[in-house]
Amino acid sequence: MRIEQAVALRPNDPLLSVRDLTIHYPIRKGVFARTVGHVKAVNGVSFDVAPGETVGIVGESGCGKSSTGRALIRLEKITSGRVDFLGRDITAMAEGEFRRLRRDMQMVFQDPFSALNPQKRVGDLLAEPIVVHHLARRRDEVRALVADTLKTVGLTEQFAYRYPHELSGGQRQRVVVARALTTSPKLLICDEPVSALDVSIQAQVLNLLKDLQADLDLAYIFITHGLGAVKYISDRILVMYLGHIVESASTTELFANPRHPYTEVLLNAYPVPDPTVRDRRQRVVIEGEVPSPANPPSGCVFHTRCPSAKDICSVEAPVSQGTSAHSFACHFPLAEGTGPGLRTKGAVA
Amino acid sequence: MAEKLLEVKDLNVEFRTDRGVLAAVEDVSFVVEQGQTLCLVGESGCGKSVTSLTLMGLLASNARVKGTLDFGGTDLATLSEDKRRAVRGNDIAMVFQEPMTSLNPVLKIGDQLMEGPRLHLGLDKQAARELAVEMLTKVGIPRPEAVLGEYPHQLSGGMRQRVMIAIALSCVPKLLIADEPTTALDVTIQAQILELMRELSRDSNTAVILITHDLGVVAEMADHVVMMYAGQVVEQTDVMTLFATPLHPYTVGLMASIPRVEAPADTRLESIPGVVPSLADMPAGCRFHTRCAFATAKCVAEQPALVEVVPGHSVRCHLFEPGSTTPNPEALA
Amino acid sequence: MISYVIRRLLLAVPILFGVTVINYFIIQLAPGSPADLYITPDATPESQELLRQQMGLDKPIIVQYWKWLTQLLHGNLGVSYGSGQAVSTLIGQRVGPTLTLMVTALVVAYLVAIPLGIVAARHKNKPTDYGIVGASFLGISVPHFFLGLALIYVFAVVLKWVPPGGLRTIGRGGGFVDQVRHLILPVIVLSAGIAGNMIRYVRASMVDAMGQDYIRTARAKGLGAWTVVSKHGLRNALIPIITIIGMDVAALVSGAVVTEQVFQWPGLGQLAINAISQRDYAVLMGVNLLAAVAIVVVNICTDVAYGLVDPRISYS
Repeated sequence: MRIEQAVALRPNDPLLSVRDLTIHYPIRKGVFARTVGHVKAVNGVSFDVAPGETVGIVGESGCGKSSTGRALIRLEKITSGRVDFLGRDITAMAEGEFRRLRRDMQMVFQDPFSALNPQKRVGDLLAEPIVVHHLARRRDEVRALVADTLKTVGLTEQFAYRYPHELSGGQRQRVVVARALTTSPKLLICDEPVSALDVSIQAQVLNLLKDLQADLDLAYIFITHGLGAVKYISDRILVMYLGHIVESASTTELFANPRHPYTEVLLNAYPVPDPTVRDRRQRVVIEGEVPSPANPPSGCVFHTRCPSAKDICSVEAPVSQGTSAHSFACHFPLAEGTGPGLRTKGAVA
Repeated sequence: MAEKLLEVKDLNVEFRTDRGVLAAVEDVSFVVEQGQTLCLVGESGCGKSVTSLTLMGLLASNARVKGTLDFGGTDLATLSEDKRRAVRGNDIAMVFQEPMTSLNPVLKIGDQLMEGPRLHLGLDKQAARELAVEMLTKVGIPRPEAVLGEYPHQLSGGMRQRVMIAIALSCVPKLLIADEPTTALDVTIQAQILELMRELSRDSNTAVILITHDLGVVAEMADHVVMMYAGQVVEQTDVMTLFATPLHPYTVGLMASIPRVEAPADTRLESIPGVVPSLADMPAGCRFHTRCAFATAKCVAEQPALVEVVPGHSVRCHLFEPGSTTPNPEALA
Repeated sequence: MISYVIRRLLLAVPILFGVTVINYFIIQLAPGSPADLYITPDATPESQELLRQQMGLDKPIIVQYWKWLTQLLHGNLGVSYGSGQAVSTLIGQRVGPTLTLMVTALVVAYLVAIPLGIVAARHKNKPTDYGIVGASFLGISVPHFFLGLALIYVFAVVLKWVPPGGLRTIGRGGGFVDQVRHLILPVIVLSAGIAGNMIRYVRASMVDAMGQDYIRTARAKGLGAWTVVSKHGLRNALIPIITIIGMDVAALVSGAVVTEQVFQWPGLGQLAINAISQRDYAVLMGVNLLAAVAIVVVNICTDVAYGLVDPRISYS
């Protein structure tokens, strides 16, 4: 099974390819629960993930980043679009077939406190996917695999005998990662994997994810609102706003050379841990809040808050422009080389 | 030099629980000056929130407080509950972390906003209503008149936090305590709220105690910083000095462990090994020694004192001796 | 809101239909037949069969049910096999006393339970709390018939403070005071269980509400302890309690059957017991249907009330 899949994937093919992914949730009302509208959570999102690559998805709450991640493992119903994983369209796949494919694509959720069944020992939690996917049959084989996986995430074998409540937040998140790794996946979707952890523990988990990637040739989709973390771990970043990808570029390019006004606003809002720049920094604090995805603005979805919006922005949705390496959807993109952190009061005329 | 508003001296807070007496805060001392912002920084369980609740007098009934809380000449710790209540929400106000749950879901915004001024300022309904509209306008809430008649669930998280700030500031407090006020908010909304707090404290000369774990927020907001770890102050100084010359290995480690946007690519994050010790299971000696790269036998055996190594910069670590900010490895022997 | 109520009412139709089906067939499972009442010891098998035919009891159960249902849809609950009176008339005579008993019991139970629940919550894990919670368990666990008989023995037989049963003293006018004296014991019996249950709900709900962040906010404003409890805590605590009222009404319906029997209270419960012993299926079906309708209606009402009290819930 595995070998077939590997053969089907040619060297230059992406591991995962998402095309025009759209997720709309119906809003129901009235006596017969008629559908009166839709929450447009994700609108025409397209991106690729290469083997061993880390793609970060950043954005504020309601931007559709989590829905996108959940749709990839079919936790959300996809309204339209196509998702190819290992060269096969998972949206059209039967449940049993998808379940077999699932061992190559695992998910790590935000909250390590609720992700682990409190009644089961760590060893049993890790053995579950091994048994479900028939990766080992004999008891001692399963136990050995569990012990190996625990070591991979920097825990000792002894942790197999503990219950989740006996672990700290960081240890729990390691167990969650370990559980995802038992099936030797090719892609790990991490939804805010460090947000619930203490600062000093976040760094441990981020480093763990980085090391695992180097050792196991894992690809990541790293969903977060934390710019520092996403920059640290990602090769490429997608910036989402109200269900759309507004900008996509390699990490260095995006931070050095943001072209979409929202990206700039986002980078600017991030508090820099350096008190010497606080008075020099040009703050672009934008007014207002993210509009409701049930009733998104016309034209460009960002125009209601955009500092550089003009008449056309409320009428016509911008198409994605630029290169495949750096694309952005904006009628009035920022000039090249206006890096956000670098922009100071003096630099702005 | 601004005038001293609050002086916390040798504050100790213990909780009597089924598992015995747990010391949540030990020997914490700091001074807040008028109009200044002091940041209490630390991770979960470091005692920063307990310290703030102590100042408000909102601790659970199993708590025991020792030490003095000198607020404009009166020791808050010795006040009766009635007198304490007159200060609470009046001279000292507080904004909490969770804007989604900190407002009463079944009461209208107007009701919740007018309660404080009617109680402390003795305003009648009409005057309190006018003040409420004024406060909502001040914190940047559009259509304030209409919002008075709305319920919390009708507002977004950012708007609710603005309402919380309006409630806290409506009686013109001398001191505002903000416990992780932006942690639950999106970055662009966080930027708005921080900007708002800065403006309001500048305009009314309100002192702020800002509790946070985010060193980015500290760098943006603080005048003075108190770093806490496991219930103790480990380092204390002004914000510029702290970021320029952090001394305590914990402070240094924490600063190295935040992924920075401005860091060059491929720099590896330093992480502090191990976990924050729990209250019930505090290590002997220096509380950080279990995670410290420099720890020696002395650190295990002997608890370091908080020492002012140079004027205005204190640190709790055996590596440092009075008079110098360079670590002295021999002191560890 | 109106569309929500309409939807709930439409949903109630299949529920009530199901209830009548289940009731009808369960009743048929019981030994005996309504015809037994009229059968004299010397009746011949032929005359017995004739009687059954006259009463329509010879037909298959489904046909009998269908006849009952079509009658019902014409607004006719049928005729009592026993007295020959219309079932609706019989029920009409009995509704008043039962409603009096149930409403009084409900009001008394809540008047006792809500303050006690709050007090228990305020003194959580202290002797006062343990005392109140212990008493509430007693209220829940003592069976109605036992409590009823015990109260009759102590207060009516030994102390002679109140009458042992009935709606009013026969022969005397039966003024208001007389009726209240008759109400006391059955109300105590019925409300004990309800109150015991309610105390535990109020306590849990109050403990939960007082632990919420908004309570801390209220205290941080410098509000007095009483304002914090009554204005901020209680209002939130009572919202989930509203749905319990629906359950209490269901409990009262079954509790009333036993209690009315013990106190000779001429209500629907007693009517139902008599109907059972006489195999008077028409009456029994009528009472059952009424109880089911009452429970469905009360549940819709509590859900609507929930929406009115809690601004976060909208049925639009």
